[in-house]
Amino acid sequence: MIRRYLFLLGMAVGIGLGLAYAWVIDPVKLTESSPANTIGTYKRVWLIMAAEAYAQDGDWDRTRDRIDSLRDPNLNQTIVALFDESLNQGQNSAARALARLADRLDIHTAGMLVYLATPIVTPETEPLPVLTPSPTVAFSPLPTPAPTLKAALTSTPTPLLATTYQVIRREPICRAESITPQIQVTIQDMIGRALPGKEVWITWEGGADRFVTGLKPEIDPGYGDFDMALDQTYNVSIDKPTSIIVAGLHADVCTDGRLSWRLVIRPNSP
Amino acid sequence: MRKLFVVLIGLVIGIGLGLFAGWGLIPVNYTETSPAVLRQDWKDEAVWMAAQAFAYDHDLEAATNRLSPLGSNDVGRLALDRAERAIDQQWAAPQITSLARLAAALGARSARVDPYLTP
Repeated sequence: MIRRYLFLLGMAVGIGLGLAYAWVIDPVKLTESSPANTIGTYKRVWLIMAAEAYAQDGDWDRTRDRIDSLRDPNLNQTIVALFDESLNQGQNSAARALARLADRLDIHTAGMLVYLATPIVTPETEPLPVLTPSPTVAFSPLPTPAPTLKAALTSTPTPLLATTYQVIRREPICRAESITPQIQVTIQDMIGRALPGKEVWITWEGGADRFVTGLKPEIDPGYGDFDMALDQTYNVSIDKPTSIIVAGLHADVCTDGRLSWRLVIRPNSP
Repeated sequence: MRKLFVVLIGLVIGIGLGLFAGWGLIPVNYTETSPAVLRQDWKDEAVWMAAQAFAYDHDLEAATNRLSPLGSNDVGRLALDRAERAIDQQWAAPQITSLARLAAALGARSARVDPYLTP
């Protein structure tokens, strides 16, 4: 009887020692991780890359495998949070791509709708070379449980839209000193309908910022605003910072406080 | 003496079971690993995604930040290697172009890949 207890005691101590060695002293080395096991910051990078790649080639099967590889049980919330983060950081490309990915997953927020409602405008387009026209598109297989990957290289052309704009109303508004002066921009189409999702650039000497119209639909779906600093003079452009259509806006002193500026902008007639 | 022998036998068996469990049955579970230890095929996928994303957003800084965690000191070389393997794997030309353009933007070019850069 005593021998049995001694045997069990020895074995219990041995198991403890064995586990301590295997878990603490010499644990299994991880040399082949998967995206699901990586740090949270890289998972977000992975998701943005997957979204932008999807926006680039439209290959949903491959994109699905890429996002499934993260094994995120709260994927919808992650995408929404990442979209909001991109939006707040002014990363419009990422935000637009995430909005498109979210749309494919049937996730919608007001901010995403703004991006989905507008066409992609890129400052330049580079034609892709076709050196060796190949009848079949050969993708490398995706790692792990990768179902058959379709080669859907359907990159949507993004033509250069050379729309020019005109200011149809430029109105100074005198607001109390306690209220931050603003540049308030409303963009409309040629017949006066609000245009959400337009990128408005505010530039000044040594700096630039931008916003997208439509994020305050309670004011106007084509509206966006920018808080002015008192010592700066601002220019306003649409789509790209170089196409200035209003210059020299300054928060001048007025009777009640400081001037804000209200602008209504429309495309020029073709 | 016999009792000591019994304890030692138990100890040896216990250590064996502990090692088997700790290495095989219930090994340490890694959840927050560095992207540098991603399996090679996942790294390849990450580089390919970075190239596609670069073709989409033209943001070189973002591309660099996306490739740096993969553990290579030379992210341009990383993209170039992927492009050369894409040639070996007979990927379609536009796909190789995306990789080649990313590599070139990061300062890495080669005679094999250069023809895919220019239309």
